[in-house]
Amino acid sequence: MLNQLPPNTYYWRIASVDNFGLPGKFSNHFNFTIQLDTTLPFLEVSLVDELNFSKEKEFSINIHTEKMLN
Amino acid sequence: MKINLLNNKTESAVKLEIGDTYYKLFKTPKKEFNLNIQEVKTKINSEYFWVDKQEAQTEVANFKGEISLEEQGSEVTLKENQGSTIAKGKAPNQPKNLLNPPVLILPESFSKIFENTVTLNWSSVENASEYWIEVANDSRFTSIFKFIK
Repeated sequence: MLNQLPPNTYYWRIASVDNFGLPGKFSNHFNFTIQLDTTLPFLEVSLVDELNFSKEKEFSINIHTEKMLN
Repeated sequence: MKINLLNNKTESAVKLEIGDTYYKLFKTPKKEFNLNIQEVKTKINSEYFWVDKQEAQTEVANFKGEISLEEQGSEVTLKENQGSTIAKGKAPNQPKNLLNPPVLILPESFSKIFENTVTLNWSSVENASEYWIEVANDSRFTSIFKFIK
């Protein structure tokens, strides 16, 4: 487990170690990219028909936000 | 490091006192490299190997080329992917084959991860007592971010 990784592309590979403590050659490498979105998602609210005030018990509003990344 | 201007040959030597190191050399016929590990005589004809020198014993793992180790009048030659241990004042142990690397599973290459914690996953290798993980900022592993034993 790798913790506290700053956003970046990382390359990783692994070697097996035998009972004598001798390492074998490293595997081929894989890579992955950490992308952290630190900006709060926006929330855009628009009232239907440009209503700013309503006495009705029910009314609908449209809310628009950014799409989920995963 | 010595440079012979007559034959344009460079000779370099490193003395390992204690600890372990990976050696990656760019060898050409014009370059000679020697490793001094106190009592153990070495002949390095390898471009990639690992040495661990401790008080009681020295361990050598060879990944590319050949390495000869001599101690107490006894010499062994490590071929590619072979290793040996040498107890202090004893002859080197016969070369043994090193373990194959594991197969990496997850995260797959080119994965995008949207959190700062990553769990690495790989296949286990029979008779492996542990695994060493190297994480780098470049694909040639010249800039190591973390080395986990």
